Amino acid sequence: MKHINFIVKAASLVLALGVLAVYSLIAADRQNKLKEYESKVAEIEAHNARALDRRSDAPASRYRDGVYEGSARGFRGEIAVVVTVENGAITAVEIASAEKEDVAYLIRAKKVIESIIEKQSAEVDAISGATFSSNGIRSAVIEALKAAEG
Amino acid sequence: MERKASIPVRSGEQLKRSRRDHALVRAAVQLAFFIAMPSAFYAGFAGLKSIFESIRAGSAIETDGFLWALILTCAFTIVFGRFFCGYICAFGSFGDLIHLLSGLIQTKLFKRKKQFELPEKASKPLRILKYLNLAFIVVFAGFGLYAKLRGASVWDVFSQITALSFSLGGMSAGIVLFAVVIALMAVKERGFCQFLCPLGALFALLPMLGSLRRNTERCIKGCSICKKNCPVDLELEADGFSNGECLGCCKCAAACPRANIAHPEQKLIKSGLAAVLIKAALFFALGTLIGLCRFF
Repeated sequence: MKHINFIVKAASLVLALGVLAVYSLIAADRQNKLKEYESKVAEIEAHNARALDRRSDAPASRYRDGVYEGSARGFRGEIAVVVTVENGAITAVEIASAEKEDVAYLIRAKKVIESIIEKQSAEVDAISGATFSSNGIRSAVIEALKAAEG
Repeated sequence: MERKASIPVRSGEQLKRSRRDHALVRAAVQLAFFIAMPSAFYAGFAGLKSIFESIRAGSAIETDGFLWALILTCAFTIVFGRFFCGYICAFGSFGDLIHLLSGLIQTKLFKRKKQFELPEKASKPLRILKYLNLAFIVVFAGFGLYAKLRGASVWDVFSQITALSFSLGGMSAGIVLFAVVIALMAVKERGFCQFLCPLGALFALLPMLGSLRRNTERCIKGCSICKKNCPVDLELEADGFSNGECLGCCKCAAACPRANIAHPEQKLIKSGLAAVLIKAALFFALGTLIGLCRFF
């Protein structure tokens, strides 16, 4: 059995990758179902909110509508963002420039934008593994929102 | 005996040249990767961490740049041995620089004859620590506690320094550990890599095809020049499997009087240095493709 070592190693590797792949498929399926469910909930909530709106005045938003710019230090240099506020809500955050950031990290860090829009606030957790870049985006958004407040 | 006597032995002059050429090529490759891909090792590590964080969150494993970095470094290690550790990893190269400076200070400033090196007896059992470190990190990531370690990461401190930003606030634990790691690298070549590196622990399990191997039958009896030149004090086996601890630096191959140590791909590409450059170019191309290069 000259190749027994090779066979054992290869089998363990295939097994480990197989487990991760199967897990990932199951989790992705579950996530999709969860998303469907959440979108239904959101629909119902929006419907309820509209019904309530007709009865009372909606609370005024903290932010004025407009497009605001802000920048802050990321990992290697400045990150500049453009924040769009529509009907008092943060609807989009775009990276205007982040020339010095490492691409793989920046892509990862951009996930912080999703949570900012979801939470309607820049007070969100940093993205693990891309702490510095995502904190840079966060701080830049905070900077931009300062102009939107008041 | 007759047959052995006919194996050519490299002359002192040839060996000197071989070691010098190897040291120069290795330093050039390391410097190039240090400048172009200083965070490659951390991206691979973040990929590993994020697998366990995804499992904890019950979400699918994310296929972003970090996972690709993990896949690339692991695949490269399976195929070529730990070439990544020996030539590409910025933290390893940093350790080599520390060790070099430590040697210069000891011999030039303190007039010591030889640089102090942690003896093999002390270092061999310490190699187990890296597996414990890996297990510790996996458990912390798996239980969602990794954020609690923020500020204690040696690599965060290192990344801030290589980014020339020095915003080290809240990292006092990391700075202390970083100093310990520097001291370790100064008294043992690649001490961090063989004793503590969590990625090193993973990579030590992986080499399957192309790690360095030694043609033991052709060796001069009791020679052990390879072992004396090895940062991990290894006497390589003939079979490439048992050499997971080998960092793939090839210092042994350059110093072997009989040129008995080689990568399997050197059956195709005779020159060890050409093989190194081809592997470096391949990693650079693939790494750039997945966004690890700072410039492209």
